[in-house]
Amino acid sequence: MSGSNDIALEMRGIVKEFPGVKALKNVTFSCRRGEVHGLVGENGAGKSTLMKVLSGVHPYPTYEGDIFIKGERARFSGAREAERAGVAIIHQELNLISELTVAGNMFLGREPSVSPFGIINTRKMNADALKYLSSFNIKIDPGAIVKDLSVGVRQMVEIAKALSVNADVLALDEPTSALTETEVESLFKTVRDLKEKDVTMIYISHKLDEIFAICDRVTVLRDGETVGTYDIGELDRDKLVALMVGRDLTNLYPERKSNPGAEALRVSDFSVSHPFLPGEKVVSGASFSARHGEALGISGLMGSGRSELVTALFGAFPKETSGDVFIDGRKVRMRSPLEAIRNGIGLVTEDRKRFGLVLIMSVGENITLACMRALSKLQWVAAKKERAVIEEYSKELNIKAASSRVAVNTLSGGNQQKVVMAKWLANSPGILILDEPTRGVDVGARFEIYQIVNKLVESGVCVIMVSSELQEVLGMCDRVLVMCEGKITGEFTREEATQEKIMSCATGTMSRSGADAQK
Amino acid sequence: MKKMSQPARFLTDNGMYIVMALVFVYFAVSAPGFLTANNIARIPLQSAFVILIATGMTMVIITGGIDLSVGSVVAFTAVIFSLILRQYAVAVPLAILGALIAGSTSGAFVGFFIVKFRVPPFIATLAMMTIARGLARLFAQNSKIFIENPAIENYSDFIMIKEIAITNAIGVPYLVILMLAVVVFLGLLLMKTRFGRYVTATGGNEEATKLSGVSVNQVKFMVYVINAFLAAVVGVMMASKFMNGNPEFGVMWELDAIAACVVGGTSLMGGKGNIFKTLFGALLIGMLDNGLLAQGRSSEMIYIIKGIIILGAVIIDQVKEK
Ligand SMILES: Nc1ncnc2c1ncn2[C@@H]1O[C@H](COP(=O)(O)OP(=O)(O)OP(=O)(O)O)[C@@H](O)[C@H]1O
Ligand SMILES: [Mg+2]
Repeated sequence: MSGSNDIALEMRGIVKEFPGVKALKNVTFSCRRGEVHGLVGENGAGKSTLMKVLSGVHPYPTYEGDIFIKGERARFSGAREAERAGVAIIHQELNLISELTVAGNMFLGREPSVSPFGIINTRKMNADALKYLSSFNIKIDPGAIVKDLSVGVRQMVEIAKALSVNADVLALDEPTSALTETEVESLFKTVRDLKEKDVTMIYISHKLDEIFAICDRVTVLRDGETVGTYDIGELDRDKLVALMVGRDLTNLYPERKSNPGAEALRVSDFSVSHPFLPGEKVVSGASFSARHGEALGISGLMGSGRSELVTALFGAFPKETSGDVFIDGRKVRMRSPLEAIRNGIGLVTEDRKRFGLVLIMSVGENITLACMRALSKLQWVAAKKERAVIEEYSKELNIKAASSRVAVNTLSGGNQQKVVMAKWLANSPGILILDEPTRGVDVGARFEIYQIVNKLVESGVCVIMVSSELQEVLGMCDRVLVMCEGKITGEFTREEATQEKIMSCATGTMSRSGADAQK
Repeated sequence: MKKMSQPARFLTDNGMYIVMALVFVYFAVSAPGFLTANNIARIPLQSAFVILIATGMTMVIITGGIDLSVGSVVAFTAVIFSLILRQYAVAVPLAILGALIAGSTSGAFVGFFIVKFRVPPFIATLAMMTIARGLARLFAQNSKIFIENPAIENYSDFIMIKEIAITNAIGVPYLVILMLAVVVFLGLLLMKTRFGRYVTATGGNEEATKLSGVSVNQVKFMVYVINAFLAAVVGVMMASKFMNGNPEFGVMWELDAIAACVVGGTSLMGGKGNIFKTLFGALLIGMLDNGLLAQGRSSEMIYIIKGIIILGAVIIDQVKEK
C-alpha cells in the first residue's frame, strides 16, 4: 500500500442527483500525486459531473460522498474555494465571458489592482497573461476580445486560464475537442511539464489515442458508476472501448459504397473578407465542387479558414462574401441562413453552445427550430407532428435525456452535439455541412453518427465535413480538400490521400499545383 | 442545499401564488371593505390597462429586450385620438384606427433602430419614452384635449368608449373581457405558434436562432410593434374613459408592466417567460394597490410596500432557479 501522501486526491462514494437523473451513482476515484489520470466513458457517463463535484462547481452538500485532497477532507462551497485549495478545472463547455479580453478572462475575480480603489492594473494583468500564454506556446494578444476568437483559440485561452491558477490538481475536461494536432502537441508538452512539477492531472477525452499517449492510469465510468481503474499498460484500444461501452466495437469507421452522382454544389472564386481587418481575407478564391452521394472532407489547421468557408456558404456573412455558388447547376445567392436553408443546405456548426443550440430551450424545441416552417400551418404549430419529428430523431440519434422536454443544457456534451445533428437531419437537407460533427462525442456515438452520415450519403445527400481529425476525414470522406491560410492548397481522392500529404498541404509546404502534379 | 424536500419544492414552484394568497388573506383581515365582491371584482378592472401593456412587455422581455416607452405611448395615442376627434369630424372608428396606427408607429421606429442600428433596447425605448411624452405635451399644448364629438356616444357600449366599466349581461366589464381575450390570444401566440417559438429562441440565443434560418430582426421588430400597439389600444381607451387626451396619462406604467412580468417569473436575461403568469403578477400588484389603499395607507407607503413585495416575489423565483 502506498502512503497517504502519495494520494493526491480521493473521492469516495460520490452520488449526484439532478431532477430526473442520477448522474453519479456511487463513484470512487483516486489519483496519485503527479500522475496523469485518464477519465473515460460514454457521453453522459458522468465524467464532467464528477469533475464539477471535485472542483466545487457543484458545491457541498449538493452531492453525497467524501472528497479528500492530500488526505484532508474537502468540502468546497464553490469553484473559488476549490481554486484556493489548489484544484482547477478546464471546463468542457467554453465558459469565457465573450465581451472581456483574454487577460480579463484569465484573471477574472483575481485581477491585480493598482490602488485601494480596486482599479485594475491592466498592464500588469496583460503581462501576466502573456507569461502563461507564451509558456504554453499560444500566440494570442492578451488584450483581444474573446468573442472575436475561434473556438480552438478560446479553448487554448481556457487552458491558459486554468494554468494560471497554479493548481496542484488540474482537471482537463475534453481540452482538445476543438484543437488540431499541432495544438494538441503543445498541450501535451505543457502537460508533461506540469507532471514534472508534480501536478496531478485528470484528463478527459473521447480521443482514445490521446489517452494512450499521455495517461499513466485510466478510470472508466459507465452510467454513473466506476467500472474500474487500470494501468495504461494493461489496456489496448479495443479493451478500453469494450470497458466503456460494455460491448465490443472494433470497426472505427463503418463501410460505405462510394457512388457519387450529379454535381450538387459548385463554388467558384469564393472569398470571405475579414470582419474587422479591412483588406484581409479569411477565405480567398476558393473553388471546388461536391456531388450528390459524396462525402467531401475539408481539412486544415486551426485558422485556415475552414469554418469561415462553410459558414459563409451558409449565408451567415453576406456582406463579407464574394464569388459564385451553384446548387444543382443553378446559380444561387445566399444572403442569409434562411436562404441557404431554402436552397436545401444545413449546417452543423462547430461551436454548439454559441451557434448551435438555444441552451435554455428544451431538447425537442431545439430539434425542430430549423424546420418550424414545415411543422406549422398559418403559424400554428402542429403539436402532434412536432412530437413525431422529435421522437423520430431522438431515437435515430439515440439522444440520452430524461425526456425531450428538459432543457438542452442539462444534457452531457456529446448528447448536446447529437441534438444539433438532429436539428439539421429533421430538415432533410440536400447538402449537409458538418463542422466538427463529432466534437466531444464518444466512440460509440461517433460510430452512430458516422453511420447516419453514411446513410445520408447513400441516399444521395451531399455531405461536406470539416474536421480537425485527419483520421476522421480519411475514414469517412470520398474526397478531401485541404486549406491553408484561406486558400485551398490541396485536393485528394480517398485513394490518394494520406496523412502526410494532407499535413504538408495544410502547413503550406506543398502548393496545390504540387499536389496536382503528383496525380 | 440538499435535494429540495417536497414541501419546499411546492412552495418555491408556486411562490407567486402563495404570496398572492397570503397578501389576500392579510388584506381580508386588516383592510375594511377589501373583502367585498364589489371590491374584489374591481381589482382586475383596475389592473386591466397595466395587464394589457404587460402582456406585450412579456414578449419584449423574452426576446432579451425591454420597452420603457409604452407609458408615454399611451399618452401620445390618447392625445392623438382626442385631437383627431376634435379637429376633424371623422367617424369614430377612423379616429381609433388613426390613433392605433400612430401609436404602433412609435414601436416600429423603436424596432427599426434596435434592428438596423443595433441601438440597445434600453436606450432606444428610453429615447422613445421622452420623445413620445414630449410629442404628447406638444400636441396637447400642455393641457388636456377634451373630446367634444357627439358621434362618440353611438359607440360607447361596444368599444368601451366613455363608460369603460360597462358590463355585459353576466356582470363582467367589457374591459376585463377584452383584457382576458388579449392575454389568451398572446399567451397562445407565444406558446403555440411559430412566431412564439421564435420569440423564445431569439431571447435564448440570438446567434443560434439566426443560424437556424430565423429572421431574428423580424421577430424583434414585431415584438416592439405589438407592444406599442397594445399601448395604443390602452391610450384610446384611457381617452374614452376620461373623455379627454391627457399628455400625463400612463406615467410610470412601463415600470408597473415590467414589475408584473418579473413577478410572473419572466427572466430579464431573455428566453423565458409566460404571459399567463404575467397576468397573475399584475393582479398581485393590483391587489396590493387596492388593499393598501383600503387600509388607508398613504401613497408613499404604497410605493415602498409594493417595492418590497416585488423584491420578495422575485427572490422566491431565484431560489427556485438555484
Ligand atoms: N445541470 C444538470 N441538470 C440535469 N442533468 C444534468 C446536469 N448536468 C449533467 N446532467 C446529467 O448527468 C448525466 C451525466 O452528465 P455529464 O455531463 O457528467 O456526462 P459526461 O460523462 O461528461 O458526458 P460527455 O462525454 O458527453 O461530456 C447526463 O445524463 C446529464 O444529462
Ligand atoms: Mg462531459
